[in-house]
Amino acid sequence: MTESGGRLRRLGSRAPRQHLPLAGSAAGAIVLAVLVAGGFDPMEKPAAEVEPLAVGESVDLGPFVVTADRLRVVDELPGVSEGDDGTRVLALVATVTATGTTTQYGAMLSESVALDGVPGVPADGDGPVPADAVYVMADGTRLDAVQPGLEYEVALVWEQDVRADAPSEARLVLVGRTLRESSIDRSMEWLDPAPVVAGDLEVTAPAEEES
Amino acid sequence: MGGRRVAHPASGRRTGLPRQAAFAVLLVAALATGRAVEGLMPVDDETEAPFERTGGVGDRVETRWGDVEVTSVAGSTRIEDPHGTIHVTGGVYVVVDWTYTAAGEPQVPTYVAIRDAEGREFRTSVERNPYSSGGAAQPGIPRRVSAAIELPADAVDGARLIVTLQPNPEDHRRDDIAVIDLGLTGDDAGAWAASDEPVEVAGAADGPGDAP
Repeated sequence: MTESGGRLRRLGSRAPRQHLPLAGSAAGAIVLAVLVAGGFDPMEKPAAEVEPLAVGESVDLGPFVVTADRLRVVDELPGVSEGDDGTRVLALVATVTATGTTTQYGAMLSESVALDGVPGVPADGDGPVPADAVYVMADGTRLDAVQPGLEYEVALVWEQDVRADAPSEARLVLVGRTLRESSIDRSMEWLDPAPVVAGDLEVTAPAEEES
Repeated sequence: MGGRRVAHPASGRRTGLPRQAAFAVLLVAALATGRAVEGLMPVDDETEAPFERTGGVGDRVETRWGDVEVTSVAGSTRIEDPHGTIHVTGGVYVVVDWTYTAAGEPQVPTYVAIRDAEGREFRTSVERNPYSSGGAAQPGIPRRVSAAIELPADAVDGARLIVTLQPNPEDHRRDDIAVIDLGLTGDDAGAWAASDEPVEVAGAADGPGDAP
């Protein structure tokens, strides 16, 4: 009875001391394994430097190369604010090519080109406002897919409330993306949108173009 | 006996630390080995590749989910989509008419593209590269569809039509895809790049249609 009780006390007092080095070794092994695998990713990556915009200069945004040409006010565009007296259209004329070997979709293109701080151009939240849509200049149809190997002259458009003055200058922001493996399904995707180029563009009014 | 019992724990404490260190080393070694094996195995490229069912124009290409038969191929710099809108390209529009017959249950082939000789893939869309499946096709009833895709003229020679069910290429793994050689050459590319006659893109319709 006495011997049996002594054995129990000894096991009870030794158990925490046995588990402590075991847990410490396991934790150390896990940290070592993570470091071997590449270490911990920082939660916040440093913001990339935003370059100044230059008209006519090609900018590599990752999935697209975009060259901004001119920004103009359009009274109406077929399919956009057509017969709508409450809005006018701001249109950026640009050339676009897709960089990869597969089709890129127009939604990503319009999200990659934004106007910043233009009164009367509605935004969902703070920050630059992506283009509402992209149209092909050659035929006026919507560009919903950008095929690799082709160059498109396009109009990226924003609707502006006519109660706001038409701007004489507007800040254009071009947003780049990085091709990397998605942490969700491990597929390669263009992710991490971030401004790469920004600058003020002169806005041409229709009357100025006619004169 | 009692002396042995007293001496044994002391011996265990002396050997405890090396045993824990060995455990940690073995754990790291196991993780590193697993990672190395994963890197060496051709998991991504070969075991997950789709099964390509191939054919040419006029062939009935059988897949797990149905049969695909290309009935005609045309091209131009202009198309007229099913809504009557004219689209103009700086490259070439390739318009493929094909018939799809679902197998087993109603199916919708949503991934339709042209793959060129370099491996580039040009997909359909809603407006610029019109293609409409017409919804789920009932099994056994042929569904006639058209797809118009714009591509650079240098992609025409050797172009193949790709058709499969899932819209996301990541989901094509280990599934059947129809790969149909359209029989196109550089001469076709040159002729179509010089043509501004719009090619009509038909909407989807059920039934065998007119015999070619």
